Amino acid sequence: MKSYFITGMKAFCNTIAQLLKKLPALSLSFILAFVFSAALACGPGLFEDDARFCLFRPSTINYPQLSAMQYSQKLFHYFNREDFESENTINCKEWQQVTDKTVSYNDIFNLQYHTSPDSFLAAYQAQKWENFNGNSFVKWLTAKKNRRFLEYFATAKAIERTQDITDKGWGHYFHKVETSTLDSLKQVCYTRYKKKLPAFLRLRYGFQFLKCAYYAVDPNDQPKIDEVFKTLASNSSITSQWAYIYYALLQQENLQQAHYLVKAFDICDAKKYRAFSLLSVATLDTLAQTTGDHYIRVMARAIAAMKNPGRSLQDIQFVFDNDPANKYLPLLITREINKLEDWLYSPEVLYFQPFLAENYFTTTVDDPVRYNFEYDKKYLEEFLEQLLRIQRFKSTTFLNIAVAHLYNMSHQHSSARDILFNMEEPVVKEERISFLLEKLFTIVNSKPIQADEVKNEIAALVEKLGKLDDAERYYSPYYSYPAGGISSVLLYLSRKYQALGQTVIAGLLYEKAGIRTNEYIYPPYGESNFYGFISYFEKYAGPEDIDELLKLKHKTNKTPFEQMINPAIWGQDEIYYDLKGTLYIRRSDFASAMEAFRKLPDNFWDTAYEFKAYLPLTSVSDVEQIISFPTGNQKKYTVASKKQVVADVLQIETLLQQAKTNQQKALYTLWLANARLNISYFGKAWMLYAYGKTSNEPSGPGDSYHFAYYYINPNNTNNTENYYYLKDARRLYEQALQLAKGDNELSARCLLMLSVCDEYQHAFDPAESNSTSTGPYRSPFKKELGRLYSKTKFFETVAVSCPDVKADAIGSR
Amino acid sequence: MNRVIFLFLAFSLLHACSPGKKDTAYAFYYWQQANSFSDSTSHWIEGLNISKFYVHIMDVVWSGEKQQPTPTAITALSTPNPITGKSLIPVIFINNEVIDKADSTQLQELTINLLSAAHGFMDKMGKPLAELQIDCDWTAKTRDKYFLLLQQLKQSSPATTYAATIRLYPYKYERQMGVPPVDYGALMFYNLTSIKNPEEENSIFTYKASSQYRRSGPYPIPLKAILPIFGWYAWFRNNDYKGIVYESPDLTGLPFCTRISKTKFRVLKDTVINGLYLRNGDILRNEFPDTKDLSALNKNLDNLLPGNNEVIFYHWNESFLQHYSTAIKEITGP
Repeated sequence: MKSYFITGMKAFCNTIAQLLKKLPALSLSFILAFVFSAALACGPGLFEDDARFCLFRPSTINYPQLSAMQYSQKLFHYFNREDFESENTINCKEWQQVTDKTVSYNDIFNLQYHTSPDSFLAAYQAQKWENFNGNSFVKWLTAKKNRRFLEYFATAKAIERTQDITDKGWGHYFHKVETSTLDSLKQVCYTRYKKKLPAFLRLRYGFQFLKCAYYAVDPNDQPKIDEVFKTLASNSSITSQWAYIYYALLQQENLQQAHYLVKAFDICDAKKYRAFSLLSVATLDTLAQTTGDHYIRVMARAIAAMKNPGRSLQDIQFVFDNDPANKYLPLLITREINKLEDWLYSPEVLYFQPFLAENYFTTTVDDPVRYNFEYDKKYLEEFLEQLLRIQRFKSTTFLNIAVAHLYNMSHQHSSARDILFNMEEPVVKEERISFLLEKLFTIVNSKPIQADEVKNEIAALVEKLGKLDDAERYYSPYYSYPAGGISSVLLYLSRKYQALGQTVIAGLLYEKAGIRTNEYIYPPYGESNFYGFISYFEKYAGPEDIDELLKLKHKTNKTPFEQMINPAIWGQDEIYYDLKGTLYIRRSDFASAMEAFRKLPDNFWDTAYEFKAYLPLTSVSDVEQIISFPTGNQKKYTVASKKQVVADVLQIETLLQQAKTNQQKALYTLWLANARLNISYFGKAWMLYAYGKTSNEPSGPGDSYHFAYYYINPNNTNNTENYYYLKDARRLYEQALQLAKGDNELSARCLLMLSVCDEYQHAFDPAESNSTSTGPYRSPFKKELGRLYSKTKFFETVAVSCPDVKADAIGSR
Repeated sequence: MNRVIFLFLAFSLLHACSPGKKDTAYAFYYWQQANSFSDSTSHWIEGLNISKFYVHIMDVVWSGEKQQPTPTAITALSTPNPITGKSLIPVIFINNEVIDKADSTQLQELTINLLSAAHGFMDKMGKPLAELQIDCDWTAKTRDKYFLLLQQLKQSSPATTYAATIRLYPYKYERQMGVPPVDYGALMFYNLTSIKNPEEENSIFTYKASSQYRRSGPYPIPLKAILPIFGWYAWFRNNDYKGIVYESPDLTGLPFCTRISKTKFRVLKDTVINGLYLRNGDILRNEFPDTKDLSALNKNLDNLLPGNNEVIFYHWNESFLQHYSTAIKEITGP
């Protein structure tokens, strides 16, 4: 039961993650609903390797059976069986070889793998083949001259039937294997294996014998098992691969079993993963230490290294020193490079942990994150040194690219350039793609990427990559996890432009890369999407960047680089103007915001996104929803509209400018303070400022939007001071209170709102959340209110509407 | 008079606190997938006064390929073994997705298959089927279909006793979650809070967390209590949850980590454990339930579950037994 809780949670989170990945245009209401219900629990789940950056992955392109052994943070072995020829396919092809040309591959496949033993054996026993009319393989098998093949097929199906429990009820899962039937079938197989039959059939009878011997155990069979295995092991049929696994499993002694599994791993491509799964690291270690077989020792160390998510340099050195031509060395080297990429780049490029930031648990001790970073950089140097040693022994395209990559990672870009620019462009397509990717990576790291000629160079390389047949594999973020190749370079490039302050380029490249990062940012995929078009820019852009973005959008003669970053789908101009105005609001520049909003139709917010639900229809200067009675200018908006809200604020600002008396000034300042409060996280007009809100934000200003905690809030540190910490609102309330001196009624109103503001300001105070005091923070301004203004009419009204305020003010609690 | 009341109260209190209540039976879940016994198993069984074992025999999951309920994780428990001398009750876990996606015909087939599996297992153990426990984390959405399945089971084999596991959430929120139509429920006092929260004390069980699910009245069907005697380590890096690390209950003295608080250990050097790469600075939070908390729960079981006559420990793992032996003995009594 315990495990299902975890897997259930994980499955749920993964489902959400998949949804988000596939449907970035999900409505905000869904997102908000999800966030409110689940943010505290888990946030969206990550696939096992979503959180790691990977650029280098050429070693298994030509060896897909090894794809499952690539580096993974949590030994998550993903591989696509469709990438290589399955054992079933090979088996059917071997059958096709011994049959006439008239027999179709599909008919063989159907009879082998899609026909139940019962239906085949019923037809065989009755010699009635009507149900198989049209199957060319059955026609061939039932021909008189092929009688021996038919007999074999019937024997194989009979063995299959002993294990087939389909349609027999689940109780059969607990029934013992029918050993008596298997015993007799085992004898049949061995007898026929010994007969003078075609080699094709002898091998298959031999394999069936091993299989029966595994399920119907008899110690007396051992000599026969050894004899049959010896024959099968020395041929190239698929039966040899099957025999290796069964022979290994037939070994009683653990290390002996491991010995043959190691061999099976090496020899049998079709059973590689099966053998890999059956070997434990502990057994491999013991085998490597105890075996007298040099080949097995090397292989055991190599396989152990494939299972190690930590450092494997010693194993790699051992494998190289003892078998420099070992075919798994490229995989082991790639794995090690991928680990280094993960440890050094994942935080920097994807923003997944570990961050170079204060450690929650270890603030009183040294900084392990920084320590690990330095430790890994040293490992990079060490690994590069060893790779150079291997490269000196044998220089291959793979090793050259690998060394160039490590040079780049070590910031020795000129050395990387020396290798790459002195290499012939590889002919093999996969190697060529890797070579071009590395070249791109080198340029990004070694040249001024803001220069036009470098931009053109980048664009030319990306175009070249795009023209290679398989390039879509590298473009697609969904090819496998983690996204590799060009997507990774584009994301890396995006971060570089971001560091240079070129937000528009960085944002468009980010969208182009389409890789999941630890930010609530998704690339747009459909016109109905709203947030996806602006999500990156909402977090990183200023209003002037939006002008640049729109300029690029409408530019007709785009440079090759601009064409490269140009998104397949742009959002409508209105979406960007809304963002521009919103960014001005975050700067408290309402006049400029109005300028931007004027470009939009009056009803824009009534229909777009989720604005209608989260923009107010009563004046932004009114805080009735907080203090339970009306205040502010009592204006009503005709429609949900940022334009009307901003116009309201501007009008109050004008009134304030025109005010003659301190009393008037105090009133308008109070209204403006209310407006600021309403445009904050706590107010009714929060969507004037943000595009999403959760119950779980923030833990502090700055990086709190990382989606490991699933925040959709803005990230700008300066601006969040108003949104979360009510800096301007507080200042305005204090100003209003000063101006209201002499007017007790107005002073009381100001003081009450100041107390509300003060309490909200404490909502995100870490000291408060860690406080062991029992009740929530109560503002001292309430006491002040009770002490100075308890005789005012305003206070009397408050006392009726808000008894809790009264209680705090007059000290009854 | 006052003295009489005092003595009565004192006696009641003593009685409530005394371990190993006479009318309470003690049992274990056996959740291993194959025979996992040692030379000491029989000694443990007799020493702990265990009367029965609830044996997890399979999971039922939804096969996307076949679009039907499919059995998986089928137990390979074979005879002879040291637990067949006790009462055995098969337990089948059904993934909630199965209930969600199965149509009425498939629910009928599932009913037949569940009974077939339970009979098949008990045949293998050489015992008749008397009772079947279903483990499913049903939701408000799947409630009606799940309860229909339970009713179908009863109709198909009325002589069999049926039980369902119940988490504390449906236990407390009976109106939303319903009451499963079974002979009794097995109330799970574990997996109570979010493992991913770094500030959580122990996501598996604390007495405090379990107390939050106290009900105002009795639950409509009889309940047995399931107490956790298992644990793991929740693994954090820089405040981010990384996964579960399966290690022994006490890491003290191991060179790769150091204790930094009552339940937290800090990793001192990069270490690979069970295929996981723990880095320097990572935090492991011990999530083995505190024995004092278990005792506290046990002492309050009569209040929490009036009429409860059985305590089931989750689950049989001899290395955990060692760790919890004192607590178990205190609960089960001499």
